[in-house]
Amino acid sequence: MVTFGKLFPQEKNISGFNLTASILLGLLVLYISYPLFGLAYIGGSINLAQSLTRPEIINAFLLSMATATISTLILSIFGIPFAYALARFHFKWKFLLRLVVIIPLVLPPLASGTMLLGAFGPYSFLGRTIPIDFTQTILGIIIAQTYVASPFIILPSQAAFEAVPEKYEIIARVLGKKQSTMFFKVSLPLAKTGIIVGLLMAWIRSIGELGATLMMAYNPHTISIQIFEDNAIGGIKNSVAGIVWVVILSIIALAVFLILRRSQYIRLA
Amino acid sequence: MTLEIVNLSFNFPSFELGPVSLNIDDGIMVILGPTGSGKTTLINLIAGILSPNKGKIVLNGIDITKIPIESRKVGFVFQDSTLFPHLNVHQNILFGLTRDELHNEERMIMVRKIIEDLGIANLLNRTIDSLSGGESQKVSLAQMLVTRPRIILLDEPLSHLDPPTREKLRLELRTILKKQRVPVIYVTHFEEDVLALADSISILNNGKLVGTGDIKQILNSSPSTTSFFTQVTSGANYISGLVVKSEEGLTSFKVGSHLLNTLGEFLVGTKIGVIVRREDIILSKEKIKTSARNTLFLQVAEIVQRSNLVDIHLKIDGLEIVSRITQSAMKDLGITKNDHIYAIFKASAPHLVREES
Repeated sequence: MVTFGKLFPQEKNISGFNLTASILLGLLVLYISYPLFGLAYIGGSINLAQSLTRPEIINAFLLSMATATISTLILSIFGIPFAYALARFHFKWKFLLRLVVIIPLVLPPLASGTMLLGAFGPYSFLGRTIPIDFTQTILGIIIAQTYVASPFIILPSQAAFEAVPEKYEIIARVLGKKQSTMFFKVSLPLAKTGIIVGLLMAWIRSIGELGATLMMAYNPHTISIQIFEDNAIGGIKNSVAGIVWVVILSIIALAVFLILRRSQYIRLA
Repeated sequence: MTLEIVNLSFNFPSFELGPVSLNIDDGIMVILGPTGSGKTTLINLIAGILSPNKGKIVLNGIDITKIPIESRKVGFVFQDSTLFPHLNVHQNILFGLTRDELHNEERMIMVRKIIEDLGIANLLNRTIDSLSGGESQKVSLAQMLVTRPRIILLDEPLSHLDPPTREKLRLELRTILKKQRVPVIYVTHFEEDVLALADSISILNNGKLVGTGDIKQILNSSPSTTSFFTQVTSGANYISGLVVKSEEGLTSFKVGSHLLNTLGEFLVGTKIGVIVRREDIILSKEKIKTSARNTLFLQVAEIVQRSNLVDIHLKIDGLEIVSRITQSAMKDLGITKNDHIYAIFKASAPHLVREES
């Protein structure tokens, strides 16, 4: 029986609305979870333990964890203050900045990767001027991940800062605190739930990033590229191990979120 | 300390405040005005939350107009609670103190005294969302007072409280604010706040300063100011006097040469201020014996028509009050200007708004 929380009492008869909602909800859950059953089915037909511990899979997994973490850290240092500026500062061309932020979101990742290659590749201006290899290196992976994951930090953080009533910032300054102190002691703590959600989303997105990374740094292999290559070489059975590792990472990220929420460190409305 | 506002003005797209000029010494100035008159804009300018288009703000001879908010040492209590929800009560109170001040024993003794004076020592470990409206405003007051501000601004801090809490806090507020010995600006549209707190009043209407002075000066100033004051307030009578006797729940207080009675018990020598609604004052051409404990013999100074009602302005020997009666009552009694008439009201009619020992 589907009920609507505390608002409506449990109805004795199933209403048409409840029934329709239940069916739609069920279909969506089935659609999202069915591939996991497919994965389990295929995984059952191979030596999963051996596949999971293949050196190239482990290396790709660890590399993805490391680069995603670095990318997320870089994005938090630049992205959170940028989000605050978008939320609080008023200036003429702000709408242009808002547009710029969503570019990596709307572009197909392969297109983003191609553009990044043009900007950082060996024949680009930077590639020819600066004696650093931006492509086919860990740096290339980080460039690709930060680019595609940037909206995932900026947009939720901006929304989180906008949701903090300005009166708290005003009173902090009236009480004698400089703007920087106000930001760290009031704005950031009050926006932390949205920011943490953004950080987790950016991290997960970085882990799962394929298209831009393919163009910028096919080698060394991230876990997504490893899955892609394993599938290309040996079909679905060959790529199951990589997928399982990514699913494990997603569960870790979800667990972190739930622990923070349970500890009341973050509160959802 | 002296606060001078000199020709201050601010423009919104559809509203202009000023130019406004005011002088406030160590006392409480109440700024009265209808919604949208510019009261909040004015105190936001003083706090530095807004920057004026013209004019200046001078504190003790120093121009603070361009000084940033955090350096002005202004205390501000808003209408809505601005306590930080992620901190508990104690952390909120200490928020405005610097690291050095937190480690200063003398300062912390002062902080504890403020907490005790406001009666909030039992709330220190509570979360903000567990506080009542009155508790919240007391904590906001403490948060502001511990920073030792040079100017105190209050933007209708009692307006969201229920009437009994508002009344109780209002009586305590004057004592607390006067102790600070700094200019205080209190914005309100409640006449009880005016009468309970004000050393001086300024009236704002449509962004312009309509009048400034103490209550008597306002009521004796131009008809437009007076009528505006009574439009904004309900035009109750404010009477203040010295308690001469108080027993069995009945207090007698002297107003000029007149003795009035009100309910309640006070120490002899206390100065009390009460308001009596115009509608509560009954008029009679003859002296009659009633249960009312207040009978005054006064002269009709003025008769002011108000659609179906009439305000009869009465005065004698330094006492001025207004009675509001119907047109037909006025006709029946045959009241005209300069008549002598009895004004009667019960001891339960006066409503205490100020008490000073």
